[in-house]
Amino acid sequence: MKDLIEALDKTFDSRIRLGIMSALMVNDAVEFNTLKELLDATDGNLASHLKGLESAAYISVQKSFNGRKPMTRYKATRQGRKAFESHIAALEKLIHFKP
Amino acid sequence: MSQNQYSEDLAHIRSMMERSSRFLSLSGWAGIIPGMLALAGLAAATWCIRQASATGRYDAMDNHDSMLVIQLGAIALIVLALSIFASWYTCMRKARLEKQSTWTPAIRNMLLHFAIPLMAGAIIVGWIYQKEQWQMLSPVLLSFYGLALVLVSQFTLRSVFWLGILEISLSIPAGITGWDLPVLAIGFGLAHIAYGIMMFNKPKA
Repeated sequence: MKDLIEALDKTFDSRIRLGIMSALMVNDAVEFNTLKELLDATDGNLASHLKGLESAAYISVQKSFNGRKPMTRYKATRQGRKAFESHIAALEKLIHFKP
Repeated sequence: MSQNQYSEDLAHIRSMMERSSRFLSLSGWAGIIPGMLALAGLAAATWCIRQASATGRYDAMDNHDSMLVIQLGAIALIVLALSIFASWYTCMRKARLEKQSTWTPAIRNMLLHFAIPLMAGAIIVGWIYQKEQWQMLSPVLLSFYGLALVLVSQFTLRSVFWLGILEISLSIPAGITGWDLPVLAIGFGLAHIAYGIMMFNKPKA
């Protein structure tokens, strides 16, 4: 059981981060405001979790302008996809674990 | 953390993946209203055809009968416009009530994948008009609309896939002389109404 818990990725230790990664796994790129609505998070909270995932190199950031409005889009990196997949696999193993 | 929490994490992941890639706030009214509009439109069309020709069949008409072509085209466009408006309005209202976002990648994907087969169908309908092949109209309308539904089911409720398959299958009897209007009434009218009622009975399909 202990090995299994250690297989969990500490970077994903929050519901918001799990939510961000889930949305980025099934969409090419997702905008900041879309994530905000989807996760029902505040600007500051979401931004800090995005920073956390960015510094782990699990997501990449693209800034652009839509007319005059700044737009920030996020993508899962290959590394991030791999990490998230093994995190899900670890969660599944933990659920089916019988001591 | 307990095992319970791990399964909650997984459920959360699954629901976020689903919510961010599918538009699930389809309203039952988005089926029922267009279905009724289609039946009303077909009734009006049948009346116009009866007035204009003795056979009561539009596949016998030719483009010289331009008054009838214009009447039927106008009915079709009005029904189409009202249906799109009603579906859009009721779905957006439901999304807002469920506190879902009304402009997500899922909705954009849904609109794009819905529009492409319908545009292809519109091109074919243009040729049907040009070549006066009116007997092809019903099968083409049903099969292209069915394709649009099958394609769009990736981005919304999965059951839309089966509605699409039904519409495509109906394009077979729709080719039989004299069956075109009744089959259109089943495909665009009754099938939509039935699907809409089904959606009210189990909202989370």
